[in-house]
Amino acid sequence: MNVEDGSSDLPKYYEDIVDIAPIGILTFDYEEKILIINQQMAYYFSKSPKELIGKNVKVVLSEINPEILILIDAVKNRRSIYEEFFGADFSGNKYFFNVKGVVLPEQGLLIFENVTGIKEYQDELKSIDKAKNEFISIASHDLRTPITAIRGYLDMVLKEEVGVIATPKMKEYLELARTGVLRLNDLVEDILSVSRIEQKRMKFNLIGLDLVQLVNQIVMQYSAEAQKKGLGLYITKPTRPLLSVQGDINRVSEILTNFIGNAMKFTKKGDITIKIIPRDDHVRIDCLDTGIGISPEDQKKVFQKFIQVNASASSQSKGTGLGLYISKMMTEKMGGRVGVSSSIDKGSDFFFTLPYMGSKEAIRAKEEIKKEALAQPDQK
Amino acid sequence: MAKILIIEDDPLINKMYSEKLSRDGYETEIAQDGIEGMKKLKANPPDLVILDIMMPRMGGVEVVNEMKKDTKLEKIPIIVLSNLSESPDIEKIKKRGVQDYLVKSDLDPEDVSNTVKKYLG
Repeated sequence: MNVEDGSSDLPKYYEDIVDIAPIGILTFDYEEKILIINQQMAYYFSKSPKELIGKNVKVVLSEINPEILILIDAVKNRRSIYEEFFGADFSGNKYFFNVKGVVLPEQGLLIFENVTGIKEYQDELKSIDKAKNEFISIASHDLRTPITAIRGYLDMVLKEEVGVIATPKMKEYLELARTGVLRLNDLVEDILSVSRIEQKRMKFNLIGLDLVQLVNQIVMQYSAEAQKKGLGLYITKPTRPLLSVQGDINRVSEILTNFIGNAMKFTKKGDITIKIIPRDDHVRIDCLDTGIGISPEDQKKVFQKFIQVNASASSQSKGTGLGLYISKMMTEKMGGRVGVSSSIDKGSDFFFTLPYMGSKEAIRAKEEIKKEALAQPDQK
Repeated sequence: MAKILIIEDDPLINKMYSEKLSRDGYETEIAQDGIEGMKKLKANPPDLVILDIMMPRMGGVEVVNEMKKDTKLEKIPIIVLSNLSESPDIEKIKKRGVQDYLVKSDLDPEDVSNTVKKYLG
């Protein structure tokens, strides 16, 4: 340790500890004069501590990054600070530091922890993630064309447009092939949705919605299937007229379709009820079923990516494991939240919320989406 | 007999729509990209165009732009059949007066044929 006047009440080895420490340590008095600088700190400047002691801390440190002045002034004003990934340039050598400024009696202490390696690793991870997303998006897009062809030709054969299908077995196999390609199509579409939403490229047109009408419309699409399975399908509407909620009509339809579709899949008997519940600053939409239910451990996982908690329940009801994750991401983009409560063999209650037009959450969501759109103006 | 020009580079896809629409009683012609498409459009204007977006040499957006500049072609209905969704290209051509925009992988040939019927009867 190099104290200017050499006087110190501490044993000599304390000075050695400060010098040996693999972090940069520097103190200065309130005249901005450097009092202590350890070996590690001096090393970044390619100088010895002696050459730097007594110099003006602002003059010395502003060379590495002028923004350090803000940190020095904060400490001078008796305010402790912490700055992550502070960039520093020592005559061409770039480093990143986590900088801690501490107020001591009669002096300020600056600690420089070298996190250059961590920063480089993080940057590399980010670029790998970006490359992965681009790959998924291109690969999925190129999958769409052959899927279109398989699906289209199978459909024309199945409709016997080019001749009669000779045996029932042939028809069965062709139908199984079609089920397979439709499942593949769903998977590709879901993967594309996930990559769009994760790369913030999914479009949201947030407008005022007539929720009751929209719920009616979506539920209607399931009435035939419910009847066929002998399930009751109900809507519980609010007793008073509902204020307009904010959302993207297509996204809200997708979420409703996802929730009701899941309920249909996992309910053998009983009812499915959609409840529209007005709250103070948002509306909650619940999809209740009397199906197989989900265990408490699995409830925590259902909204995660690629999780299918009831995957073993029935092989014909296989999904992609992405639907609920997509619903959650879309709901959150629109300023709402999702949740589930359930008990095994009794049924499940999946819900999502949407903010009222003009509410704080609605305005925040709208601004956020505007910001994202501006951040990537012309990407495919 | 109403005439349909299919501008689509993938032979798996253009054959599928061409044969389907022929069976429906339309006269169909195929162009493999935008340049060939423009040539055929000018030589022999069809009653309807089925158009892909991503094609080599000249893409669908440029075809729409060229057609809207030509008084003989500007009124021909265009059905865009692409596998691009949510790209700025689509926003652009929707504004330019494309009749329908359909995502191929969501559709069976029957759906495409029903859409064509909407415009040609």
